[in-house]
Amino acid sequence: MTATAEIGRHGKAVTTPEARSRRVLVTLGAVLLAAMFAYVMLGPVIFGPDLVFKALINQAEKVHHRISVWEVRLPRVLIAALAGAMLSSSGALLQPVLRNPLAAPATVGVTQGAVLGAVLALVITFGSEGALNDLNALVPLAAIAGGLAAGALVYVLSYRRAGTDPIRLILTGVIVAAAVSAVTSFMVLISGSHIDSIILWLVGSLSTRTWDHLIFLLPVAALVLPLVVVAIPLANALQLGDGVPVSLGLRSELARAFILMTAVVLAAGSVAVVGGIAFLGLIGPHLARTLVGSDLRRLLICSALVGAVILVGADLLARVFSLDWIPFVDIRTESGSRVPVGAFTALLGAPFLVYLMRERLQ
Amino acid sequence: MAIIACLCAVVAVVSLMQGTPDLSVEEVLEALFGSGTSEGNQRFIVQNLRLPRLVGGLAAGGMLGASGAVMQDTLRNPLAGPELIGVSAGASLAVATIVAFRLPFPGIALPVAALLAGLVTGTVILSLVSLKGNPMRMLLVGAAFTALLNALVIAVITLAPNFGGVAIIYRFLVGSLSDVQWEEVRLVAPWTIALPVIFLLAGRPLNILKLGDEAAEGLGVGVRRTRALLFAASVLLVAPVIAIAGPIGFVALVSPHIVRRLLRTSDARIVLPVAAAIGAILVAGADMAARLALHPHEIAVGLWTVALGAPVLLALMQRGLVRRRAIP
Repeated sequence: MTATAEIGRHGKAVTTPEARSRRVLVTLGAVLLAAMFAYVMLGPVIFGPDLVFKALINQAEKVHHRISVWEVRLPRVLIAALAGAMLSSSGALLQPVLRNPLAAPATVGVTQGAVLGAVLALVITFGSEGALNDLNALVPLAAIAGGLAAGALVYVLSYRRAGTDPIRLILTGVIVAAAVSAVTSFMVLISGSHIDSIILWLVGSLSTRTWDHLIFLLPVAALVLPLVVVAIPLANALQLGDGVPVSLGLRSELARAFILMTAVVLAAGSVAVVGGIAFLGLIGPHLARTLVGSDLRRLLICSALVGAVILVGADLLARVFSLDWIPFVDIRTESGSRVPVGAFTALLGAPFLVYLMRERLQ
Repeated sequence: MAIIACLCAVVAVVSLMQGTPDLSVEEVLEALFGSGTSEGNQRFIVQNLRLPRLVGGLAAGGMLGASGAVMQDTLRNPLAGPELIGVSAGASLAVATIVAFRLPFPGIALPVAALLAGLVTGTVILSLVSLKGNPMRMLLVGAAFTALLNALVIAVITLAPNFGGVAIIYRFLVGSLSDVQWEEVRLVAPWTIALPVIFLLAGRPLNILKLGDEAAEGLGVGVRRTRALLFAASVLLVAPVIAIAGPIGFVALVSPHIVRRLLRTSDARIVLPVAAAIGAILVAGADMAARLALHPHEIAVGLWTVALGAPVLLALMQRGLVRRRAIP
């Protein structure tokens, strides 16, 4: 709408950066909706668009049809979109603040710290009876605490008076992440809880996620949204260099800490529900930056959309690969998929990390 | 030297004693060498359960320690180790694929497959980094590859028929000795011959490589060829370990550093064998912890080495060891 108005005012088709990025955002939104619709259509039983639509307005013809669409696929795709958006925007905030193109929740240890926090909360509250799919209000809080602790540890360990060397920061993050993940495994193995699902949780899985889980994700998202709104102008000011925020009357260390905290809450909140999905927070912001540039207002929205599209697509792949048409895979239920989505995002993201190191840090 | 041998013996005897049932030293000796007067049960447990695992652990640790020592001097990177530059993950993926899908390879082929996959991964990664650049960069590229390969391992295992559960995932992601029996020990045994050969042959070229490329060329050593051969040797040392126990982490990194610190020397001819001994003690000791510390739960040995080894790596990075090109 606004884009066409712009064109009208100039009398000819001039594409300002704003108009261009607005068009990108609208297209991405459409892609996301299409991907989500395809996600709901596809599965062990494939439904046509008309059937999906009927099920969505609660007019399903058969019970199994309603269950598949409404109780299994819809909540799962909503969680995928929301978690993907949160992880990716977390990376979009981390990269400019740490001035590090390789920064992402998983490469600075925040994701793994959040997983440890969440697992601790589960083990303590449920003991050996707890299945790791169970949730309670403590879990997101513990995840956020764990994410903050791990992030702070990495920052302190890699801190140098001369400034933090980007490679040192990320390598420290990766090593701390490995150690923290080992501790998580200790916890799980000792607790003797339903460990078969935990390893999928360590790398991130959307298997058997339902409305119950979405209900835990929504308040975190609602809580963090105002924080993000405040963080955007701060981060934009910081991007111009440390002197600028000072001249704008901001204290740059405080602003930086606030943005980092927002990023951790974004990542940890989604980790509490979907597990330690890696690399999404790295890929999303980079793709977004090539699409809309580095102004954080646009970049953040675009990252969120890109992250949502990627996670929805990756989880669709994970579900497809868990289907029974692959000869050696036995029949799976509708809600569970054995291949964790985190494996797919890692397949995408790890080569991307190598590419970034070669391109951006030479 | 004597101290290390004693330590080795102590770890060996203690790990044979502990467990269910706990045995005394006499009972262990009786079960090992006795004339059959001791209880059949104890004899079976010691000879067929604990002893193969101990021997496997010692062999695995020895080969890892030596591999790390060779790799660090070859790449002139004090932070190098097969598990850190992605070689272990590549080898583990090959073994995991064969085991999970029950591909019709004989057991003897497992270390060979691990060796080939490790060499391919190592070559790819080394082609992406410069040996003269930031040593941390090599590790980061290795970490990215490890993440990629681990994702593939998880995909392979979860897709395979008869999903073996968590134990098998830990075996291929972090390494565990819980499957090691005499059969596995027999699989590694021929490869351990490589150890003394490498001790004897690799020491001199490693010392020369440390002088720097120009000096080495001046002494008439073909740097590229020597480096390629030594790198292959270090992969050859890890491959059988990964075939039977998986990518046990940080032992190869830490053992040579312990030796250099303890003996205050970086002469490869000394560091190599002692690092192997230290590695053997570390793995056998960590496996004892894996079996006993949180009994009745068994924690894969690789988790212990990662949890204990990662802080050491962080400390090494803190110390600025990284700054210096060659190891002093």
